[in-house]
Amino acid sequence: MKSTLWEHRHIIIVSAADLAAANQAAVELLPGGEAERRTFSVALSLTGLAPATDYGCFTSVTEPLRAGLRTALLMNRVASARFWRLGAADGRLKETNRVGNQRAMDTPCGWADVLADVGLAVIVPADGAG
Amino acid sequence: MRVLRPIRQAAARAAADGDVLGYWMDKSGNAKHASQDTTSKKPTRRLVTANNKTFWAARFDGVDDAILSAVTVSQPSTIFAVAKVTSGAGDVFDGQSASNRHLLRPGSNIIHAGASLTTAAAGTIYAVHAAVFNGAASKHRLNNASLVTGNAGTQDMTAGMCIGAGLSGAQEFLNGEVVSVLVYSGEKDEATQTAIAGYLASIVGISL
Repeated sequence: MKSTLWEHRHIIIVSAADLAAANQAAVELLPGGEAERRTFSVALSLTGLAPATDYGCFTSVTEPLRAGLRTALLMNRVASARFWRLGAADGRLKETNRVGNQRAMDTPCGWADVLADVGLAVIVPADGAG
Repeated sequence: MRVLRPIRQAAARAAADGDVLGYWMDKSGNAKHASQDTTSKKPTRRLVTANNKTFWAARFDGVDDAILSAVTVSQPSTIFAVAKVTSGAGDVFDGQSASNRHLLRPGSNIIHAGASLTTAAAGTIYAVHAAVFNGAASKHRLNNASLVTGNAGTQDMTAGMCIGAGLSGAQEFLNGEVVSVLVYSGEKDEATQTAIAGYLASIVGISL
């Protein structure tokens, strides 16, 4: 069995004002072309109610994609971008640019943990089933 | 019949445990392959060991992962899925339109095609689900045992299928794993359902 090249999991949250620039960066870097314009698709707010104040994504990335995506976001001046890099194999936090109230490195960390740390909730549309 | 399994990949696609899974082959020959082109929305391909068996599964992160197929089916219809829910109440599969649904939500044990047919919540282990969508005579079976019979609505799934999330992959994201999805036209008789369930159970080491 080969080792996967998709060695990182990345949570990235950007402000709603930076959504277009962040998705443009994804289009320019990630392999799916225009399909990547839906990269930052998870609408977030303090209350879990619309309107969205932020958008997030949770994705697997290779090392070149990790480095490139971060550079692309910076080059597109997505100043609000907050990163959390997790090990894909162990789900532990390896790196973050968040300042203050920072979760300890190399401890288990996931999407729900990050949202709790930054005080955001997913805006869930009612779907009519159940 | 359409069979969607994350086992055989096209060349140059996912090949290792942990790779992202952007393509899911329809093994039935109907070419209703499922795909996802947005990197962040791709599930990961995982080699799982459970019940003394090792098998491939697609792991959905419960945040934004989903994979889409153009497969369609009208009622009566029977859809089998082998899946495991890690947490929450995401959808193993659904139609791609709010008026063309065929939904299975194991975390809260709902099947839905315009109305919700619900029973007690399931556990977080691999299980073989059979959802028969047939109006007021719809059925949900788990590991070849009847859970509930009743009205799941009359919608047909004529706008395509989403695996790992609800509708077009925009909500109700599954935090869990899907091993196989089989889509059939018509309501399969009990003997056929038993045979299919037995085959699917054998993949994940469940004895029926």
